[in-house]
Amino acid sequence: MTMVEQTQILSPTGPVLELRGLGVGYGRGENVLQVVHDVSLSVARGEALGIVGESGCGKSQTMLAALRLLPRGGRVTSGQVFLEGRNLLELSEREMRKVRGGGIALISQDALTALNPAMTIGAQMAEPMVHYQGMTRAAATKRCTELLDLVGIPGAAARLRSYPHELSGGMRQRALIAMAISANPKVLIADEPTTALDVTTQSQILRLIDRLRKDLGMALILITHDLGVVAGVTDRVSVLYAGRVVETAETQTLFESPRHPYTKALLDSIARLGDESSERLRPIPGLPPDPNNPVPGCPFNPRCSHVVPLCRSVLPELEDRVKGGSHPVRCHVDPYVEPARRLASGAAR
Amino acid sequence: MTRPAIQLENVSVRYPIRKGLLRRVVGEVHAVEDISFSINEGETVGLVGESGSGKSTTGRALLGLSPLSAGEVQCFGRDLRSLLAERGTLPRVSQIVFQDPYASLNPRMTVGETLREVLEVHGLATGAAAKARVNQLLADVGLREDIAERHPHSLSGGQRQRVAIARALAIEPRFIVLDEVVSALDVSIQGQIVNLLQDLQRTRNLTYLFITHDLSIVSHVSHSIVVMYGGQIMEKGPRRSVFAAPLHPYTSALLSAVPIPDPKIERTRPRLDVRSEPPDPTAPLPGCRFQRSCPFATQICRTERPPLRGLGGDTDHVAACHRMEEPHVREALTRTARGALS
Repeated sequence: MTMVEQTQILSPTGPVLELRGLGVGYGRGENVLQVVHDVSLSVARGEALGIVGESGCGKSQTMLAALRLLPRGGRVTSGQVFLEGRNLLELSEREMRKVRGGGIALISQDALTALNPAMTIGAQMAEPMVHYQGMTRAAATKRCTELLDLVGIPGAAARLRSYPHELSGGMRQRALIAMAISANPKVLIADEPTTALDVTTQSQILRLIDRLRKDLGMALILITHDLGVVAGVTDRVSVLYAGRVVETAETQTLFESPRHPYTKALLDSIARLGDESSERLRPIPGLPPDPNNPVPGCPFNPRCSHVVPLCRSVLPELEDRVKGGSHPVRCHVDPYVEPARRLASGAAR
Repeated sequence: MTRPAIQLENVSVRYPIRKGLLRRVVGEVHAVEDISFSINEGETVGLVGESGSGKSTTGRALLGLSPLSAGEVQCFGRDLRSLLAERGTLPRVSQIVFQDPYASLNPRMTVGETLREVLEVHGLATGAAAKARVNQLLADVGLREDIAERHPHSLSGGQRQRVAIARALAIEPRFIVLDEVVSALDVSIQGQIVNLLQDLQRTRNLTYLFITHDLSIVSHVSHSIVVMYGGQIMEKGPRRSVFAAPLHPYTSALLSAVPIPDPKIERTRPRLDVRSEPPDPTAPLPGCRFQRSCPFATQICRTERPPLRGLGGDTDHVAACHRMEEPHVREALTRTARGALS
């Protein structure tokens, strides 16, 4: 199956953003450090896609590459990024600036570093409206007030005059979300949007993002290491390991019958409320992958409990062996395929 | 019968706010207000709350790192102030492990040097004996001997946290404060550290104060739970009863907010919604600290501080809420808890 067919099967309404075989590397020549390999993802209009993986798995690098915001030294080594059919990697920097904000918007983890500490919230919100959208100051201020209302910041008009340090962490994240949606983006990328927040605030921010996506018809890409976060708000999930997609499935399917041994192990490793303290947690043995020392074959093989000799020499393809399913897996063994097949055939859900 | 190893009675920690050229004291931050709880020997108390709730200050106060403004702390039958007065005594009893081992380990020293330093400062071992002891410590926390030659930057987050635990164990303390020790680690690795800590507790009869905002981890490791908000205890009791039948709306709000890794439960369970209004520690409100965020707050909550009390004379599981007996409050809290635990 070719990659193009695959992504079409995965998103029935046609993708708004599509990554095909994206690779990201740092450095040149012999010493290139490949952090993302051949990542293909797509998200349909209004759909929420979760990207899950541990630190260093390449989830943030993939999205920075798609936005062409890789830090110095990083470059796209292969692949294409299509926003509504336009390859973003071929655009001029000037055209790309229009895409950021109006096409794709990004919310990052740390609102305090993402916001300018020396500008009021109102001034930094209005800046792109005046400069890129040609609004008047007065119109921009009105729009800012509407946006702050929309993201649930009380007393919006007064808050526009506040500096970032005067707001709580949750309020700052809300302000950042307001800025992200200000140009009506088609795709909102949220990179660990709640990691730095308290648990009660985290839950409110997640539900805010979920509501805005539905109300404004945006596609959402939610990057996180927390499977609990993904469970609440996404339609589909891609699991990344060592810079590669190892499994993509509908959220419900992924949680009920994960197929890649890594996904299964990740789900098993989570502490759950109401567990007895006598039970031991089941962490994944060994260490997370080190991009400086890539493992031959399947990158998960040193930590995998289903490993066979083939896994140590040949990298498995990302493919869907369950006919008619939409659940590609990168595994030679595919040990949990049966329950997944049953779930796919009993598609009455 | 287990006896309390650590006992806090009416402990308060306040910091002065200074202003101007003369550094005059213009106010106080009420970081911890009149809290009491105890930890049985060989057991774990989970201390939960959000940032600014006073949970880390409480942990630091037990190590003498935050001065007590009021109240008493007993450590294994001795008064904390007298332990602090004898130089070098408290560290032999109590140790602390922090969230970020990268910040708490000296980047210029190898792991072996870091561990040997502790042994030498406390006069526990030198020379070859120290070297053997370092190897033993590394083995105890599941690290290979060759890690001793490495610097912290070349270790993974999980390995660094193991080193920080080894350092705390070096002087064989009886009590360890664990302040967000797994929060910075990948989920797949968190379990390794939690299992290690539980093994060490069993084999050495260690007493832990486990401070975290992660309720799932806390439910796994704790015998009892203390829930703090705005520097005060909102609820405390045995783990099972606090999670299954919370008495305080804040506990219920925390349970509502924990992301549950099951799409069906996560999308349909009943939640208790609260407003996010962090209390101002420099100007504490009269009445209940949680009043501004609480969906059940009424007049009395704004004027009178609720005392900690149990339902029907229960003295183990107590909460500070004026309205906890009212049937509709009980109903809402129980329903949320059941939804989160199913």
